Amino acid sequence: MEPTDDDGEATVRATLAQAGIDLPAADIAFLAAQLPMLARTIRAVAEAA
Amino acid sequence: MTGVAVTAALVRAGILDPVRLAQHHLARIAAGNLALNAMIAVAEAPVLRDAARLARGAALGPLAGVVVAIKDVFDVAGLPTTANARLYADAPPATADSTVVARLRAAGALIIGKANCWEMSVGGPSRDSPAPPAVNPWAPGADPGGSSSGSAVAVAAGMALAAIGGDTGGSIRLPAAFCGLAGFKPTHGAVPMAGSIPFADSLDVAGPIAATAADCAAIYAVLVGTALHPPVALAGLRIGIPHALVAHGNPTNAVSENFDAACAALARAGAMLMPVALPSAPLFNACYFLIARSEAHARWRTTLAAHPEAFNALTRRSFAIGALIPPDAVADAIRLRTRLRAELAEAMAAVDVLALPTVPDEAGDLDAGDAFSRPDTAPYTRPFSLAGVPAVSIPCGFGARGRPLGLQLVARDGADARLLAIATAAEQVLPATGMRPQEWWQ
Repeated sequence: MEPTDDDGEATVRATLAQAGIDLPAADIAFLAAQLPMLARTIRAVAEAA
Repeated sequence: MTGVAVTAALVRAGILDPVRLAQHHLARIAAGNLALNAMIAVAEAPVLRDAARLARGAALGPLAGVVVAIKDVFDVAGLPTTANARLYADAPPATADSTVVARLRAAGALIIGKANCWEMSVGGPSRDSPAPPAVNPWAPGADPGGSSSGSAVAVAAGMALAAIGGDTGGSIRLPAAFCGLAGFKPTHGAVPMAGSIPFADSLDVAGPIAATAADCAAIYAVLVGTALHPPVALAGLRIGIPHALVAHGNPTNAVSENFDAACAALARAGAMLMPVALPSAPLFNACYFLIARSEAHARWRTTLAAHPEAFNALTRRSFAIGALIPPDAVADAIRLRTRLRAELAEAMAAVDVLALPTVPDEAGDLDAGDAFSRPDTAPYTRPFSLAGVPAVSIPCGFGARGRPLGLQLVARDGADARLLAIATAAEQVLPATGMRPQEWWQ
């Protein structure tokens, strides 16, 4: 099952909260939209490393 | 326009008056900065004072009378260092020069002020930073590239003879290419970074932007305290073409045509072109992205947590995305970097330099949209930042809209001075060297 946008935003918000970072909602939505790209990048590097 | 070495020689010989030189560049700033936003702070009184001291015979070194602009992430005594960020809006003047600036001054260079840049050297051009984005003098509204945007614009518009930029993934080479100039990224660690605001420590370097590679060589020799490399002949030089990396960057037709024409010109001068295999070409940028973003996050997370309002959205997002990269992924990237460096070193073993475009397209327009940096951004410059090797961009024709393009030459770790000598020879046979945006040079 693909994560929904809300799932992504919750993931971003929770991860940033661990670092004590609280960003505007637009930033959270933007970063959530980057998660698929980030996952692809991490996977490509992991497979090659 | 007279180059760096000749200018200094004429000043030392008493033929050129350093005060007149400083006044000339100050006049260029007065005439153009309102439109181009190249300079954040101008040290008018100090530069005239220093020029007068030179005129009286003080410190007539290898850069005597050479007027230099400094990217506003390097400390210049007497001026605040702001990185074009609200975070440093109330910063007091620096009490000492960064090492880079101190070495320039000791060689007789005249520091004219602080050049504009992307906020904190990350993200992209933004209207939500203290200074508006620098404008490319080659076309109204065109992006000059970055992050050392003001450094390149200042040189292209004659506000300084040379400038210092910082380069983490292309921030010297990209604006140099987009503004029709030469820009040199030294070997990582060759130039001390003391007295500067960092982005990602394992990637950050300082280097020159100037009209030619020869000018960059004169500046670089001072930055590292070495002699200039003897001239290098193109005849017999082995130039490797990393075709897979070039293709991976999806160059426009104009970039491909200009690159092919540059290679043909180098071959006519006697250079031997040979293909170079880089099987892992697509991985360089992915690896770079994870390391750069995680380092930037580690360096700035505390400040971001305490003062998110101190940064624009591009900077906030660029720093925050590093929090989303798990530690295992960072470890994988660090391990992969070692392998990629070895692959590049092996590929370069049989050649003197690599040649490839600096940019896959000519400059776009400011305000053209999202400037958030992704793994496919700057596909031709980041691989060599990741590898830590020296790379120089020199002018290489123009794109379909008449905006400049760059040819990048890359050498082995530590071969900085020889690379600049090779680039100096190469720019003699490339047609775009020394061309200027006419509107600012009439």
